[in-house]
Amino acid sequence: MNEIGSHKKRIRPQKSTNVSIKAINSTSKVNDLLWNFGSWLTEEDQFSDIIISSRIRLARNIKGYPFPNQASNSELNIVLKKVKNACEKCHSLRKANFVEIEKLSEWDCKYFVERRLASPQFIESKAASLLVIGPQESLSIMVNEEDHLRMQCIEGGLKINQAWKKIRSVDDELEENLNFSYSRKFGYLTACPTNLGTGLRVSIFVHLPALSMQGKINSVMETLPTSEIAVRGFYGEGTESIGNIFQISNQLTLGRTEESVVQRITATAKKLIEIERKARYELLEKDSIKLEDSVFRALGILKNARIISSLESMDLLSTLRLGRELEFIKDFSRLAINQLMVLVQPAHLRKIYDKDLSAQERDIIRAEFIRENLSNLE
Amino acid sequence: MLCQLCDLNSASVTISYLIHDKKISMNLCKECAEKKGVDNPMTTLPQMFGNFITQLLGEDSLKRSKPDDDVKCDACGLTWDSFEKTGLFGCDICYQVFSKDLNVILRRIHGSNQHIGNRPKSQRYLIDDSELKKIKLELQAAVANEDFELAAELRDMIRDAQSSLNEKVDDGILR
Repeated sequence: MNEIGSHKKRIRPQKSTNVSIKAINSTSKVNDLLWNFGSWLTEEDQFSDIIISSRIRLARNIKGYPFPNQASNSELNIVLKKVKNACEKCHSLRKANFVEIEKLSEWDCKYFVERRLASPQFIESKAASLLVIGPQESLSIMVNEEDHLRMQCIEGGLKINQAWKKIRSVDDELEENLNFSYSRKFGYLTACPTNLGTGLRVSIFVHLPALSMQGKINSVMETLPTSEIAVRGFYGEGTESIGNIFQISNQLTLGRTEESVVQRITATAKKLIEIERKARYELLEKDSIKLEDSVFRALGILKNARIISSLESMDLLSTLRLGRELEFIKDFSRLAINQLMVLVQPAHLRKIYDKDLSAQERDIIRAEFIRENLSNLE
Repeated sequence: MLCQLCDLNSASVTISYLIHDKKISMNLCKECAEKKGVDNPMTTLPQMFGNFITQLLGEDSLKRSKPDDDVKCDACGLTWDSFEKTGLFGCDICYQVFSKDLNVILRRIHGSNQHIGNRPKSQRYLIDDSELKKIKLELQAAVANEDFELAAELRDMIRDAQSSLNEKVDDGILR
């Protein structure tokens, strides 16, 4: 089955032959990342019908330097250099790209947010901000976000444990060249006390369309203990859910071991998988024709619309994804739908067509892009 | 779970605050929730971290937040006032300077003020298998004697030993 973009005319940029560490400063090099989907968009496991991706984030600071909110520009630059040097010696990051946020256009910045490699907050504070992107976008580090280092590992499907092992070894490797702020009592010291201790945030991105159709999302989310587990939107904290995709993560970082948090979120994920699968089964049993109708209506709109907003396309792709899981439609791979969900976002479209677009022009181009890709995938 | 403000009644209301892009939840009993003005869901909740910190600390914080006796971190220049506004500390020394109020805040946020997770590699113990058995026995004895400080130290040692053993097993599978 075709992957999105693999056949696409025209806009596929030439891949760089340079595999060693390279600096991305110009916009054109950012394009190299466009069609090289990260592993979380190309790999799947037996839970990928519901769990889109698993992500682990670690917050670290370097001893002897103020946290970014109190640091001078020169201090931030020293931190940046130290982290960059340490990354260059780090085996797991040996083919990393280094992206200086200051040198990026506004759209390129947004593109990295859509790609889940940068937080909205990170692209706001541009001075001495560096984004380190490891091979296949699995490992990445935001340098000088709220903390000196925000390391991330993101994998497709339910691979929390695997991601945890990966990021732990990067943490250990970096520590050989960086002296992290740490106290025996408080653990790893972070700018915000809500991250103190392990500095660990474990998240899963779950697709819950059937629970949503049954109007059960809120009641299911209410069963999760709010003191331990947070439900967030598509782009992280404080954002709305889009396309029935929810981000579930741990709240607490102090007084818990990393392993217990990993286990807790894994258990929550398995519970949600069970409930969503049951809801899908119920819909099939009770209302199969209605479900089939909404899947084909979604497909009809996606294949024929001339103007479509990002939000509407996400909702319809979400229904299409459910239709594919329930085998009403067999033409599209799950990964192709996941990839489309990423590519229809504004900054991605801006990059694909490489020109400034008004919101309305973008909606027209989005409709065209989806039509072409869906007919090519069939 | 007990109310995180009075520590007396059982909590029946969960309030979530969005502070500096972070969602923080507090579990309160009905009485405390009403005192905070959270009697109906449409009441506007305090949005600033400052209010939240003040609420976490109670009256003490209000008394203290006059400008002339505002505590300041000499290392980075951050004042307690500023922490109340942003919810962010300025450097690692802040954690010592503000430690008194911090213990209360941490207990309220995390329900704990003691880290039990991973330590930097340079501070981990290197222990072999036979030693591990001995330490486990010592831990039992320490717990029986209520020597919790020693028990915590021994527990860390066991954790390190076990995680390094696990790594060896993993390596064996992977390579």
